[in-house]
Amino acid sequence: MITLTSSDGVQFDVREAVAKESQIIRDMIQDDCVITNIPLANVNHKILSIVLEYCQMHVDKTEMEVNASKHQTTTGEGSSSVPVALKVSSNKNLNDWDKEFINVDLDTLYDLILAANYLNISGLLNLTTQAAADIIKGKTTEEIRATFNIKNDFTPEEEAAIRKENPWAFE
Amino acid sequence: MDTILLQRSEWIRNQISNGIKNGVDRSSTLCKKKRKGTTATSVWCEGNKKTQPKQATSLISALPEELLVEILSRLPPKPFFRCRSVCKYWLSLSSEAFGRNKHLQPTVCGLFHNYYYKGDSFAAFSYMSSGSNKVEGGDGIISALPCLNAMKVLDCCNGLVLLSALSRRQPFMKVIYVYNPATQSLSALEPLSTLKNNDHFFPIFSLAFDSRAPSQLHLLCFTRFTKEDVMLDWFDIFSFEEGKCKRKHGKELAPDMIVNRYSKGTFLDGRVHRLTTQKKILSIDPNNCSYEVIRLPDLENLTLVEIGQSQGLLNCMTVCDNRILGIWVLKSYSRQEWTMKYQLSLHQIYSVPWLHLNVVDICRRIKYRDNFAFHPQKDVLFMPLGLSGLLIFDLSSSKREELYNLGGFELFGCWVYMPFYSI
Repeated sequence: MITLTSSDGVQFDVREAVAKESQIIRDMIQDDCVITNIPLANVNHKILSIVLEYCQMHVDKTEMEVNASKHQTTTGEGSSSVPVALKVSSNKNLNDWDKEFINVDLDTLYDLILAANYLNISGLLNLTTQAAADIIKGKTTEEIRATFNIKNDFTPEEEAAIRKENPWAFE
Repeated sequence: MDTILLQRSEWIRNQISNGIKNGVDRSSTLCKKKRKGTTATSVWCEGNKKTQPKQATSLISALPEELLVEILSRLPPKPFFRCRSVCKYWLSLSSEAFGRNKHLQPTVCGLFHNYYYKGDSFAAFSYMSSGSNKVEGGDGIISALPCLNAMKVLDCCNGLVLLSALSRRQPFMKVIYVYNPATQSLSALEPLSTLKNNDHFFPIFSLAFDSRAPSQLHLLCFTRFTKEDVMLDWFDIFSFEEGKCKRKHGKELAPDMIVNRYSKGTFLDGRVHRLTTQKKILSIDPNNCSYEVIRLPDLENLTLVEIGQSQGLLNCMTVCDNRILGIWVLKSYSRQEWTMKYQLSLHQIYSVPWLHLNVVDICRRIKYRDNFAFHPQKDVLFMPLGLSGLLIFDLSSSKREELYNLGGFELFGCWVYMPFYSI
């Protein structure tokens, strides 16, 4: 077990495998094998708990696949230590789970992107940046500005010039 | 441990004084930490080196630059170009994101082809999702073709399509257009815009468009009318800059050179390559209107030859004795040496018993209907399949995919399409 301490001092005890979803923590553990308490000065407890939920799910899923391939003849499910609630049977389910998982408000999404980047969890970084891209996707320029609270600092002429370069994108 | 505690309290203090989750403050904390630098934290700061938020009012713009670039590089074409008009900061990031955005890279996404219907010809586009043989009619992801009368594809080069269509004002004249399906921009090529609509005497064209110099465009027009004979032994080059024709050059080919009107041109390394009827390759430099001659692989009983471009090299497909297909690659221009890359029999490609294979028909469809193309990025061939289909054959794995009923009528011409975007 490893203890991760959030920026606001909340401690989380997690299995080493779960913590190791983070490349940064993996490197630290490799460098120094007696490490047991890792303070994460950039992630508060609210975000860290969401991040750990993601790591836990993905570790369980991988372990379950390993188990399943080990005991292909038996059902494999009863013997594993995975909690029943977390059982998923296929990649499709994990993708569905990811989709549900990332359905958060914008502020949380920014923090998750930052945390995924800071902890270097590539799967979570892909998921969160893609979610941000998906939010942008169906919106007009004005809607993007409104959603993300961005001030338009172009003069009307400058903006018209950019639109003229690729008018097809604004139809 | 003390330093870490100190940092933490500092960060919390920052959060309290400046409002929670203000990205600017967070990144400044990052920088402070880096200066104090315990080993671990300095490593952790690595990823955030570029943190230079420019707009404190917007949280998304307060993300580290590289993360915002990552988000922009995941956007499909339309939203990507819309994002360029959001604000100056996003515009400045879009150039880096453009290079990383997979949706904007030239990857094969479909085929242009023509089909005959009641004696007339029409252009069509078939969308091809990568890796599978899913084909949709003209209304795939890109609305590939503009709405023009009796439209025909003449050539396709680096994401631009050369089209001819009947003039609306003069019904017996044809207009030549260049079209970018990705951006749906269509322009008539003056002064070449109208030509007599007579298929027999209609010149053949090659488009020369280098995506690295997108303001330029050359159009090669092969003609010469000698009484009844159409001997293509003359070519004109129209050079366009910013959509305007800047100059026109004409040149006669050497007496023994006549361009083969049934095969398509290949634009590679700034030169247009075309087969001659004497089974040689013309390599024309459109900038100075000069040409060289490249010989083909020396083969006996050569029944069929086509050229094309794949993976940046000139490729040549040969069929000998109506049986053996060879794929050759020109590795060195100066030495004109062809290297054989694949050799296999036609029935291996079609995977049908020899007696059931109509080789004559296949060869005819390649030779006169141009139902053939090289995949520009992989060792893959597009071969004729019946009247209106194509077989996609992977030379390296021998995997085949069959595309039936492209347009539903007799197919002629087939051009592999990769979209072209620019910023």
